[in-house]
Amino acid sequence: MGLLTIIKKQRLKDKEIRVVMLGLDNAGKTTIVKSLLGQDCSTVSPTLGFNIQTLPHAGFRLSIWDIGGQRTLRPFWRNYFEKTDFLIWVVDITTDGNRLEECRDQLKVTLTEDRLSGAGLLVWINKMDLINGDVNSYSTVVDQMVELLELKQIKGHKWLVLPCSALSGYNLIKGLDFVTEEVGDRLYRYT
Amino acid sequence: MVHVPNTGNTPDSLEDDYKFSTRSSSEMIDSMCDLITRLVQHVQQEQKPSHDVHSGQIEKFTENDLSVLVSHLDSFQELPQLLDEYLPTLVSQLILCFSSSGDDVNISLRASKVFYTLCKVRGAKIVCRFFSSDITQLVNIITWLENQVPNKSTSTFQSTWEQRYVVLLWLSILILAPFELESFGQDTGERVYNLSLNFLLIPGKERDAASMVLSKLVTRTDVKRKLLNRLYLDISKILSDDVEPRNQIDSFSILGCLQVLAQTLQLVDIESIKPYLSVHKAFLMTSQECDNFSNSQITKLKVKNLSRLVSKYMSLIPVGNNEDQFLPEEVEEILGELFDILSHKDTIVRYAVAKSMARIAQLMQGRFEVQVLEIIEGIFQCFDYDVYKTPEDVWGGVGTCIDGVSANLWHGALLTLAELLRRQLIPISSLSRLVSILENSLKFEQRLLVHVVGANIRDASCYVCWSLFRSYKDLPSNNLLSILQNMIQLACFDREINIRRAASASIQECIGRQESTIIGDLAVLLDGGNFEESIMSNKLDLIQALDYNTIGQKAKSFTTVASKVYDLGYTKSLTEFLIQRNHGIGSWDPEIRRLSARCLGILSSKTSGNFQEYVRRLASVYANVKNSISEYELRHGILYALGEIIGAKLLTHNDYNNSNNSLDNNIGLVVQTTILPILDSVTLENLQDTNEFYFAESFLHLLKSVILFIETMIVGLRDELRQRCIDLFFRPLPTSPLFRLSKVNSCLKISHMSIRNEAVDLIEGCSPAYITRELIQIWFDGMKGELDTTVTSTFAAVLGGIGEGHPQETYHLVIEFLALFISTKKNDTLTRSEAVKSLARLLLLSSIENQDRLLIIEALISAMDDYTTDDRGDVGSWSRLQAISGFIALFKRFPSFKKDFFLLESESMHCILLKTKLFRLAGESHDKLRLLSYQCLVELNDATAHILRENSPNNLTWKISVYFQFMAKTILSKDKETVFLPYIKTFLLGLVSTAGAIHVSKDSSEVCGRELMLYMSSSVRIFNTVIEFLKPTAPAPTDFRVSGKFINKREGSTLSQFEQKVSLCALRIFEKFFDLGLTPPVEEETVCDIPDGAEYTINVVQYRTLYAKIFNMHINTKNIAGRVLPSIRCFEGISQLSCNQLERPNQNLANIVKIYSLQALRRLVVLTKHGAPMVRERALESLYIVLQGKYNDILEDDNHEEYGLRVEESDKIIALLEESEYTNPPEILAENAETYMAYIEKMFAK
Ligand SMILES: Nc1nc2c(ncn2[C@@H]2O[C@H](COP(=O)(O)OP(=O)(O)O)[C@@H](O)[C@H]2O)c(=O)[nH]1
Ligand SMILES: [Mg+2]
Repeated sequence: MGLLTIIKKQRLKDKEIRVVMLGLDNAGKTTIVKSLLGQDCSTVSPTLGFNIQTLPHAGFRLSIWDIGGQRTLRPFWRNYFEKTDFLIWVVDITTDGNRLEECRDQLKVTLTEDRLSGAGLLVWINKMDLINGDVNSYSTVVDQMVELLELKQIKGHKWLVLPCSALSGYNLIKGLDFVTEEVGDRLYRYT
Repeated sequence: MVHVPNTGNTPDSLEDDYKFSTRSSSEMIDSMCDLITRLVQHVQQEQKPSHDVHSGQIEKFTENDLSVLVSHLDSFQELPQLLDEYLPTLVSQLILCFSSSGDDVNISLRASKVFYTLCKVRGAKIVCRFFSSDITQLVNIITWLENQVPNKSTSTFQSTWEQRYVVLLWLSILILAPFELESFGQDTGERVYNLSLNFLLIPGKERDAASMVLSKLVTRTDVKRKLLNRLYLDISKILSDDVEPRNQIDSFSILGCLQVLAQTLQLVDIESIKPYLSVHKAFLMTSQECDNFSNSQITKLKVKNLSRLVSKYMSLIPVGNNEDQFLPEEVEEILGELFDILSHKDTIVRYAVAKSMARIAQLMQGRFEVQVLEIIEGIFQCFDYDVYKTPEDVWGGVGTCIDGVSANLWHGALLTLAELLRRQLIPISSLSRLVSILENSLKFEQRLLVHVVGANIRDASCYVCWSLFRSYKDLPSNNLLSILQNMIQLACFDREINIRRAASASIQECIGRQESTIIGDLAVLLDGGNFEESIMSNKLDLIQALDYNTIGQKAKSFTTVASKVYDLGYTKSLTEFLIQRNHGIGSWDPEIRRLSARCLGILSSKTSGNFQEYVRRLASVYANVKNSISEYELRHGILYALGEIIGAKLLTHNDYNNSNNSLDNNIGLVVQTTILPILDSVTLENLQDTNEFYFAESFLHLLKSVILFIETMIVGLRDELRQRCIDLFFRPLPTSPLFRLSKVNSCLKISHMSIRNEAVDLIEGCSPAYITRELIQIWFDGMKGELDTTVTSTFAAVLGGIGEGHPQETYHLVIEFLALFISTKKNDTLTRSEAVKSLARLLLLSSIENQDRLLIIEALISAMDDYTTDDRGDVGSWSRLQAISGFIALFKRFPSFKKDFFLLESESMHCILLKTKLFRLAGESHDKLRLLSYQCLVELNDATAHILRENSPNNLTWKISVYFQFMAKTILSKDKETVFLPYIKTFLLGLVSTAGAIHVSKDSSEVCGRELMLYMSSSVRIFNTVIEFLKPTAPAPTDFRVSGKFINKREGSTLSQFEQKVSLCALRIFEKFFDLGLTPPVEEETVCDIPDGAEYTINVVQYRTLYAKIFNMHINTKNIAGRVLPSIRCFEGISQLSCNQLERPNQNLANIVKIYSLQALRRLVVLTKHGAPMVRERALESLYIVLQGKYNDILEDDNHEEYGLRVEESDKIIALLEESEYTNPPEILAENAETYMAYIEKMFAK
């Protein structure tokens, strides 16, 4: 029995989920993680590197890889010990259209990545607190995003779009619920 | 001349090992569901009363379906959770099929096989959950199983083990029924107990299921009082059964007992088990001697039991005042036992111990902190056993030697550390201890007598680091840096792909999780440079550089990856690793030494300081090891590295291409004062030691670089300055160049390929001044001298390294010698082929005169006729290959003006001759030869080349069928005859050799044969050409005198051997031709149309020659199978010929055909009297077939005046033939033959 078998079994027992979190710089990825960890969000310094945090949720251990934007992401999809189970894409609602299109193209390329096959996808539309308007208008925001990111063309990945706010904490837990449900259903149904 | 350092690229893995993709898994699931539905339908069909036929036919579930289904399931092994969604349906349907009582017994059998596979892939415990818990089945199942219990007298079962396994598993679920067992019958508990105990003690897989049943049964509240006791009694009896020595079955009983004990411990409540704990422990502590196979399994189960016992003991400790609590003695004892098992030889056991220890420590945490620390201390101490300090070594430091430690113990201890770390049980204060252990374990490598161990230890060490980084926050940075440094070394330089990758993954964790700690301190590691603001992106760049896929290739890791990492500032850690004993250039693995040397070369050219420093360090280490017998690896590494370093310097020099400015004076000084003395200190004795071929290799490698270096230095200098320069460099010894080269000669005598490559490169770089006539003479002698063909061929190879600028006499001498050498067939084939290669290299030189060039061309052309064979097969092909490659290189090098330059203008004698050979080779069966010949023909760039190129199919990875179809069509089709005409014959020669060969792959001979038959049956020219190939006797040497020197050396030429072989091939081709019922072609050509009929000519095959050649093939030979038998088939074919396929009957042709068909028929008759039985048999058979055919003609020809008579006589003959046996006595055979002959003369000869 090699080390890898050991680790694979162990991860299964520990109910680990490896989440890679992506998005343009400044979208609020680090703030979201901090907020989820209950840390102070007022002093988020820009992340140029990357960060791994472990977050317990619904009986699972989420390892969240927060990776700075605009880089070759290849080294992060998998390593010797683990591979990516889930992808979180963070978009800033105030981002202008051009950058969003750029964003969409990147997402598309990413999803064709072999190592991500089957992985679930959560798109968090962040900084909703900056938008004036009632919660009812959010559904149009979501629809627009689905349209813009051409999510309906995606095959082989379960996905969800959620408006959220790192500052207020709105929809953050709901997002994590989706992560654990999707992965739990796919990989941990009877463990 | 550009020096390119050797690329040691042996990609160890380009493949990403990621195999499983969801898309394919969903397809597989679909297909699986289909199959299972089929299975279900099949069962339902079976169960229906036979008169109900309305439902139509459904497909049966076959054995083949079963294996497909099983293999689908097996492929989920990687990610079995993907099956989960389908488990409920899968299981219920399988159970349905399994328990159905249809007529087809195979169905239940197949269902159980599928079921077993499902359990194997997904785990029995999970699969079991979906059994129906229909307790009405309980009694049936018990009864069924009782009937399956192996009987002592008859050990045969009525069911398969898979069936019993499934039913036992089912029972393990039903036994949980929430009703009193008594309600199913008084002794239900007893019955289940008895039957499962029976299955517990057997070698089969049923044991696993039986232990599940038993443990669940004995822990049931309604029966546990009685049965638990009984279980311990029974087990005690089984285990104390002293049969010495224990045999196989016994070790399985032990396995079964331990299994059930472990599971019982897990299920049982503490109160019930309390009375049995000490018995249980006693079972485990008495060592069980068993055979090897079960030893590991047993020990693993023992560990599992021990670990569960501990948790039971621990739960007995009353909760309360911490102070006066004692750790139970039993726990201490068990821990001691676990420590003993930690160094078990099997990984699964070591890992089980590691897990148990960590789990126990976790249980003790909080209440028994001191004891937890003791466990940790105990583990730490494992790394101190058998470690001793080494005396001051060549590096001036004092080291620790771990050559004597137990690798298994280290591995077990490391796994334990990782498990403890995962649970955060090791206090931060112990971190420095941990780090110093890792310093050693991350580099661990032990050389045993015949193999090297330690990869698993480095692997486990990475796991320790990984766990550490994940479970602890804010680790002190000084410790982190040291680990990180080791990790970077491993990621770049470990020889195992998995360890490079494990290290890279750990680095990711470290950087991702320990960020806050090391931000400020990383710069410490990065000596020199301002990383203040770019520090974060730098760390990301590191991860980028150590990418999972990139480091999958060893050669890349040592070169591009290491170079990138160096550029990021991680300079020291790389250099330090490369220059040391046992690793880098001191590694035991020569490939690693070479790669490390390459890496040093690359790094040395990063700054001018590096060059100086590396040379200085390497030289000083060399001074220490040069006389030590045991340091030959390091010596090799150092010399090789020096060679790479100087080579890299030249490379950068050439890159800048600053022609005025020769190399830095300093570097010249370094070479003169440091490197030359090293080279000169190497003695001839050093080099002649054949055990030290690595040393010789590195010597050549270094000398090569030095020579190139000197050459580069003096480029552009005037002659006298040049000489002075050379003198200056070689001053210490009066005849230095020669002297050093004489050392080269000693190296050449070492039989190894890498010596040859180094030597050729070296000679190539030498200025003509060094290559004296004496030296060349020595090489000549070397080619002829030694017996070892690797050595003689090395001498042949170095002659090809001679470069430009020599006097003409030298070239002439060498070329003439080589040409003569290859034309002398008694010389060794390998050496000859190297000589061909050398000639081909010389051909590319521009200093050679035309006359010599012509000599080479002729020699190469004649090498294409080398068909020498020996017990290694077609060894002549080596020379043929080299010759073709030589021409291709020539045409590529001089594409435009090659023609007159090389006397190869088209239609020249030489060009035609060359093409003649190439077209033949282009039809041969040797794949590489064939394609290279084609390529060469295209490179020729003349009329034939254009046609070949224009019509070539565009997929260049040619399948053999595509190739032959294309070539035959292009060359043999009639409309292109003008260009290809001179080459049809020779191409056909190759084609026939492939189509008719016996020892060629069936594929090529079939493909080729098909094309050949096609053209033979449609082209008279082609048919006639193949007839020519029939050569009953060895052909007299054809005189192909061109320049007259070597090319006509056909005495003993192996081409004639080849033609002999082709002759037999051609005979087989004709045999096949007639076998297929094909008829020789006739071509009618209308010359002109005139009103009262057309003028036309006909073109027919040479029947006379065909008959004569075949006749000659079959006489005067002992080769019955190769010559006589195929000839008989040909006679049979010829005697069946007629000429009625012509539009306009032609009397002339009819007469010719008739003459020879009659001749052939007579020949058949004669052969029925042949001395060899096989021949008689075949001849009789053929004669019968022919006469039977003719008999039918006679029957049809009922207008014939003597119709009745003819039929009557024919009847007689046919009857006689039917009765004849080749075993008849000779008189009878002779008499019969006369009868046939008379009949033939009478009926057909008119
Ligand atoms: N108003 C608002 N600002 C946010 C929210 N989330 C993040 N930000 C701000 O956006 C900036 C960038 O956030 P950061 O987490 O560093 O983005 P990252 O580059 O994706 O990691 C910070 O100044 C945050 O304070 C949010 O939900 N609402
Ligand atoms: Mg960030």
